[in-house]
Amino acid sequence: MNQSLIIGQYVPGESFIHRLDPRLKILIVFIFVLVIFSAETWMSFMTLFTLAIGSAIISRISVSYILKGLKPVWFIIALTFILHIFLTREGNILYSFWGVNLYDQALIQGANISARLFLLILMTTLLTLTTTPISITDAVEALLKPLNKLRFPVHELALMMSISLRFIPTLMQEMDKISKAQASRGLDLTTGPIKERVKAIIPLLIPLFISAFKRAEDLALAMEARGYRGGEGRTKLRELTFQKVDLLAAIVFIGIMIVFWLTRT
Amino acid sequence: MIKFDRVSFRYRDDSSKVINDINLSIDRGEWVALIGHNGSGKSTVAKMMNGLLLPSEGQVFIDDIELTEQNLIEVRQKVGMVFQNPENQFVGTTVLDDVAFGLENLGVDPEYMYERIQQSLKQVSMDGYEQHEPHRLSGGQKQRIAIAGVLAMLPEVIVFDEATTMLDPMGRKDLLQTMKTLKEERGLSIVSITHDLTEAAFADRVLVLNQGEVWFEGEPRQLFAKGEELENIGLEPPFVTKLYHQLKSENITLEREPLDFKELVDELWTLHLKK
Amino acid sequence: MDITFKEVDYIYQYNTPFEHQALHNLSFHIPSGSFTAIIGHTGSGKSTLIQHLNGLIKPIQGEVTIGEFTLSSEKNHQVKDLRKHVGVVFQYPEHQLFEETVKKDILFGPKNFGFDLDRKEDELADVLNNVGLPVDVLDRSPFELSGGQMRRVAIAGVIVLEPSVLVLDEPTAGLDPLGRSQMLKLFSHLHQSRQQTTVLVTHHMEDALAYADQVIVMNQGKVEMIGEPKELFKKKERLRDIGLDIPEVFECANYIENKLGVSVNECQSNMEGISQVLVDFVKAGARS
Repeated sequence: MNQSLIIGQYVPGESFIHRLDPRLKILIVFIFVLVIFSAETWMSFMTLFTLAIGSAIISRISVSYILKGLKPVWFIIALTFILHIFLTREGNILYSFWGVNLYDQALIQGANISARLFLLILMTTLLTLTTTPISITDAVEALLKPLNKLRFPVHELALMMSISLRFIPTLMQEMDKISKAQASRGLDLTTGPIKERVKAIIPLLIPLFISAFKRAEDLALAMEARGYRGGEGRTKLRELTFQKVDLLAAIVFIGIMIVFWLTRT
Repeated sequence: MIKFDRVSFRYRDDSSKVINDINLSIDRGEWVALIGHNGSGKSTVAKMMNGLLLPSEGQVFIDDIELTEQNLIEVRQKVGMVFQNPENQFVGTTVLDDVAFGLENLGVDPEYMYERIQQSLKQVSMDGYEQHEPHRLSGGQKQRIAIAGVLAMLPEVIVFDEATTMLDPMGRKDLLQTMKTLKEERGLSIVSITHDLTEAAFADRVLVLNQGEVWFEGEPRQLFAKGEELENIGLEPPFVTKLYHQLKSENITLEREPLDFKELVDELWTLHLKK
Repeated sequence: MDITFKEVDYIYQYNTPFEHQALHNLSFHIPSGSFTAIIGHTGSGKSTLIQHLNGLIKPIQGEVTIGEFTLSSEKNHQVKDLRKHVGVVFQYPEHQLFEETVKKDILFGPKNFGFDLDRKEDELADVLNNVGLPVDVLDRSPFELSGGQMRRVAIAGVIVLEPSVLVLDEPTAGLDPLGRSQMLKLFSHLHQSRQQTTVLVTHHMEDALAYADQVIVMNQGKVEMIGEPKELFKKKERLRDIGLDIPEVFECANYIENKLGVSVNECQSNMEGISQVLVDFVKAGARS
């Protein structure tokens, strides 16, 4: 009965960021992620932060929602920071307690890595928050098209992605039903030793797999009946078009990247 | 429109025939019900109508052209199909994407797609649902989207393979009404595969399959007249047929076999007036 | 076991922006040993209701009592014990099968609930007989069987627990007419031979009329009507208002009354009765 299930994290909206061509968004995030690791100076970090936080503000997605999206990764960022503090032994000793030395380099490197991780996750989160999963799929297909020449199955990959998206809610409902049916037959998933609980997943997984295979079989037949024959000769309803706003965004991004490059070292 | 000429089918070369030497034809604008209990071979016949299965023996003709592996796409454009499980035939992530799927496969220019999708959705009264995701639709609504997806491809026949089986009574009634409208307003041929004899009453002609052979062919009335024989092949006679059977045992007979209880009571009424 | 719902509210995804109230202040009583049918169109709250019967979900407000068990918004530690007494056959129950053999699958419930497995094994032949399966399926894989047989195996897996309450959620969905009537006869037989309380969720008014001694009509999360089937189906307009049909026998009786101007009284609301009314009508016509 999960009527309101959200796939991915997409938050509907009409902002500038929402309206950008998904291909451009993916490309920007891709480049951004690559250059993050070459940032070394304060200024270069400032530039990247300005871009990321600026985009977050323009997207008009509430801060609390973005923070919620980052929730699972705070731990990783904190852990990376702490590990760096304890494991780095370079530079001057700033402080010393119980025989453990805190080096200034450790602090800087820890902050560096944590900032990079934060930027990386913030930008990718923004991408999924402002782009529907299906647009991401379309964009991936469009961007990978050149690989077709190398016989890489781009269309099939995109189709797989979109069908998975389509069937996630269905399979979750199915899972809910099966677990209720097994619970009614006395299956207990919440108590008992870990070993027992792991074993208790089998009566859920087997029916789920069987149903998924049955659905796949039906779906293949239905697709065939509607004239599906692979990517060849196929047109697409959603044509991605590069608009003026996209050009503007691209120019701004290139501008910021130039600033970044100049301040990088 | 569709013609089967001495068609047999077996799943493997060494297995026995599921369909044994059947002939059938479906004319333009006609509604034919294909009836049989589970396992009678009716779904196999349906799948041979648009080349999802190819006959082991005999030939299938669509518009007088023999169905072969070479013309599958043209055939599938002409002969659309709606399946039993509403969930498992919904390909797109939204209604719009799903209805577009067939058009994309045919390579239709995207410029024309929106118009055709709109028209098809209107025909099944689902306009306004373009952005809906499948898990927000009822089973009956999903079936209507499946019909829209087929309609957009401009077919001549739609085969409904037990498309009403998984719906609740309301969804079933709606779907049958939609099928009727499609036949009357668009002149489509309808093939409905079912084990429900009440549904068969909608058809112009009925074919009953039993153990892979045609057991009966004729009008629904003639089929209902078979009465208890129906039970022998795993079908349940409709309420009116049982009632009429009771009346006959009291020596009350009508001029023709009634299709529903209204016909029966009306006939009795006229009979009464005449006296 | 007696079942009582007292002012039960249930809300899906409670306390989220997506919350959706499925049951509103629901109160009713199902007497022990009765055969109760629950009808209502899709989304009327039927399946939410039955999930309360074995504690799969618990009320957000109000109270459900099943025999000596009580379910409320508070945590209940006896839920597993309750499930031992209340068996539920879900829609398309064949989808829950997972074991290598039919025997193992049927014994899955008894094993979980700590029954004496040797004793249960001895009873298997009996259980299979009850659901109309031959004994030789025991060592076969459930996935080799036909759809109808798989459903019977799943049902066997529930009735092997000898529940005091058997809940059936549209157990005939997707079956052909012959399979349907066999299945219903099976449940009717079980009901009579086991002195259990049976709760049947169904879309088929004919089934409610033929087997139930009490019918609960659900609409928008509330009890719209409750009563004996024959009384209830007389209220044609009210049922039609909430999108439900009445059994064809009743429709036919109404049509006869309007068209022929003869009355069909309550005890004639079956095939034989109607046939008799029509015979009388024709014979009266012949005499005049």
